[in-house]
Amino acid sequence: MSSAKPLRRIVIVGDGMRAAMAAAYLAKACGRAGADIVVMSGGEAGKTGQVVVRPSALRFNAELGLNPAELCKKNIASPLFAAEMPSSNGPVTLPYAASGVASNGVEFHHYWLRASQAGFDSALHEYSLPLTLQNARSGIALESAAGFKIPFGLRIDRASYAQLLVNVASAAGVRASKGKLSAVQKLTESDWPMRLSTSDVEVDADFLVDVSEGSSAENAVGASRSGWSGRYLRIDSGVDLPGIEVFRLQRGLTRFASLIPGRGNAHSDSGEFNRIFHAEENRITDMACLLTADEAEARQRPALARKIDLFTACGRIPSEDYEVFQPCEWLAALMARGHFPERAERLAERMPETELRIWLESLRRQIADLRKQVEAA
Amino acid sequence: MSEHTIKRVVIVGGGTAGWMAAAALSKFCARSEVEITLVESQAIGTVGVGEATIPSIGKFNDHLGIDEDTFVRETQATYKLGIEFVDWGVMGERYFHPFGTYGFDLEGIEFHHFWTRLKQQGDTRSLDAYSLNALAAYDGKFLRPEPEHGPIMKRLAYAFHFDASLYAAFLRRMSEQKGVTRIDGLVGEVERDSESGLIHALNLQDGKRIAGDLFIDCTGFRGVLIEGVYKAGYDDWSEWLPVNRAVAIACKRKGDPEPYTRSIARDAGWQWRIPLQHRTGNGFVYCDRFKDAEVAERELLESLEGEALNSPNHLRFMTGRRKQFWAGNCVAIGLSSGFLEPLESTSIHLIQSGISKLISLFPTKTDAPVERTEYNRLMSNDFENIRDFLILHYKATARDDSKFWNYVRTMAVPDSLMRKIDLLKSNGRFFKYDAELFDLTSWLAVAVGQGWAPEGYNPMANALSIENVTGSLSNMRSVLEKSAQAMPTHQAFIDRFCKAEPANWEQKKP
Ligand SMILES: Cc1cc2nc3c(=O)[nH]c(=O)nc-3n(C[C@H](O)[C@H](O)[C@H](O)COP(=O)(O)OP(=O)(O)OC[C@H]3O[C@@H](n4cnc5c(N)ncnc54)[C@H](O)[C@@H]3O)c2cc1C
Repeated sequence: MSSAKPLRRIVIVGDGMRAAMAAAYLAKACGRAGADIVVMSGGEAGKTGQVVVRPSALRFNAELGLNPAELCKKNIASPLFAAEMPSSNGPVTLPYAASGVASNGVEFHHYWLRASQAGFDSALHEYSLPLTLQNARSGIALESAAGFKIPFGLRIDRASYAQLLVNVASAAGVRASKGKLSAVQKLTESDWPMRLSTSDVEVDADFLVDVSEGSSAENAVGASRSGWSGRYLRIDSGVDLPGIEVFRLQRGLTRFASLIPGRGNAHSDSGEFNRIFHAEENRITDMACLLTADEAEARQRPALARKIDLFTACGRIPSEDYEVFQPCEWLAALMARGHFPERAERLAERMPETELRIWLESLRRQIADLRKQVEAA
Repeated sequence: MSEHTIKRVVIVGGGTAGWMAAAALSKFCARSEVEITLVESQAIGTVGVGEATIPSIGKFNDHLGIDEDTFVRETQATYKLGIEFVDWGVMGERYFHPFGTYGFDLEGIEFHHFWTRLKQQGDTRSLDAYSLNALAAYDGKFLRPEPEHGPIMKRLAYAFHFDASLYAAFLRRMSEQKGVTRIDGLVGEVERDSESGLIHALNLQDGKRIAGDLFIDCTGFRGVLIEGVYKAGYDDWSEWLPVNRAVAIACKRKGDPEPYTRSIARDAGWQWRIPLQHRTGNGFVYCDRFKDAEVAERELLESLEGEALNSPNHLRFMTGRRKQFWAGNCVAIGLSSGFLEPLESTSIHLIQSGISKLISLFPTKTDAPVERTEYNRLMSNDFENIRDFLILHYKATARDDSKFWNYVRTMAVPDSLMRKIDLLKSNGRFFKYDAELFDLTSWLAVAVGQGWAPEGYNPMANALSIENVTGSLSNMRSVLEKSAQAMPTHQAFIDRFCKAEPANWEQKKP
């Protein structure tokens, strides 16, 4: 059956970490089914410095055999429990895990809110495990994360990460071809559907994955937007928020691999890919807009307006299909931008007030003790 | 504006929806000084059907602290592992839609791609061989999975068949113990604020006046408040789900109860068979454009496996949903909020879903526009996602033996469904929305069962050698088969843990 015939060759266009991520992952995912992966890089140095990897990308790394503890041990990476985002009111810290603990199906911040409204004065971050661990040394932080089962991301040196990925890719048989892509030619009379050229070489391919920073292939292919069209997939770096570049690549690549076309029908499932890819893009833009735009502009975005309204009315954060940020991140962002709930969820009222105070006191003390231990270590 | 704090909740209707709402709200509002009153009218009665459920009901009962064995005993319940569909894709064929999942993923690639790969090599084994639920169901087995039974048994997902009136009575006892006040009376005139339109009070026909802050309309198809007062409007989905009538009857059961529902396609609709401990529930759901009520009743009676235990109950409905589920200070839950026909037993689930959304959005003020908007958005999503899955059952058919089947086979379907079908049929791809109820297993069961199996598969499934795939799938089958064999029979399980008192039919006959 033609649809099940795997792609023979996928060419990746891009440089540095971006191309290395694509090459390593696609080689792992499709290489076994016989696809030949070729990277065409223009030899540009690519960005340097540090890159943030969100917790959701750790599985991606694990599939490539990259273990966070080892990366930290080698001093290439350090664990990250929250990301600092730019906002119009200065930097805002969005934690990767919620403060406190949920109880009876009600998220912790409702209890905190209810207590605050009853005059029990405390800040939400006083109950935050992730913010407590944020400043801890790597080893302790990783141990605690495992012990408390809380998610964490990584801050990682971009060039070293790229090199590790290149090693994975090379071991999986990926070939590199130096030279900037200059033309993409559609073939009709050949066994191959397209031919990609640089000034030195020509490579025939079934599919082109473009992760270049400036979109080298865009002009050659004539596509304008990030996404999948025909035999061309483009993943750009997206909105400039910490963690988003790697998130987009990781999600785009894994989803592409799960929808990977056969040779005969290279675009059958691109519509679904684009729908989800753009839904995620919208959620990311919502967050960027919440952090930096004024309220009038934020209200132009229906899903964001809904978040603001519902949160203000009753402390709940409505979720859309294909959310990128977790509720705890939205909570931190909404509060940092001056949105406060008028009341907590009614279910939080089920805990008697004295019990609530005792519980909060004890949680707060536990976190404070942990902070002392972490600082002393 | 008369906008004040919510202290009094009034539920109108004492069917499954009303008493589920009363039980849940009385539990969750226990400490917040909210008074709950339920008004029902013996003169009107309940719809009297609604016996099959899906696994989420277990969670609802758990939240209420209901002991499962007690519940099964008190409601004459049996266990349900899925639905057998007979004659749906083509006459003479049957398939099983199981709860739970099929097989095990290999190397991160979903199981069904490997199944399709083997199928293309000539393997004829059905998906049932990879479903613990299907294997146990066809073997008449059941075992409630407990942690000590190990990881394979954990895959057995189950729901119940129960007597709806006994369930309502059970929840009524619970609710009354928690302080819910029940009033028998017929709602007549409704008092509203002239400015805001919010409901203040209900006047019963016997002269009683019941004031409240939040009203829950559980009045069934009538929608006494949501439609009668608020004119919320209705989205009619009968162009896609054309059945609009049903006739139901209970009969004596023959043999032990099977742990599954049976749905048999008929020339103008379909017939259900639901085995309970004390009887079998039967019903014929059809479209009156293609069949008369008398003929439907006759055909139903002729097909009964045992003596009829009551007289046939004829019902009319229109598939679709309210345009607004929450309007003013009134929330419609149950049949008053819409009805998607009983094919996949989703109504009680939608009641549950409405209740849990209402509880988490429970307003403090009578007028709560933000909570209302969100509730309406979430419930619309729920209805629409389920709708598409139901339409699939009618659209994916090769039957051309009646006007009804010719209509549904050739009808245009919503784009959202088309997209899903295209993805699944071409290469077995499936993406679940966050709020979607039915997952890959369900879509696959129905599509494959009705002749729309994926034509291709993920090429990455070629990464494993064919020997490896054949071996792995054979292991899966044998592990699942052994687990099914080791279970007690469904009847033996019931006898041991939750056997109900025999019912006295003489008292119940009308
Ligand atoms: C043919 C058929 C088969 C079904 N099968 C299933 C199934 O297998 N699984 C499933 O989950 N669901 C099924 N359902 C749906 C299920 O029956 C309902 O969801 C469930 O019974 C809830 O009904 P209800 O409480 O909303 O309404 P009803 O049972 O109709 O209750 C309405 C209540 O409102 C009261 N009332 C009405 N008007 C007034 C008034 N003016 N004043 C005072 N009180 C009033 C009545 O007295 C009654 O108590 C089926 C439905 C049909 C039609």
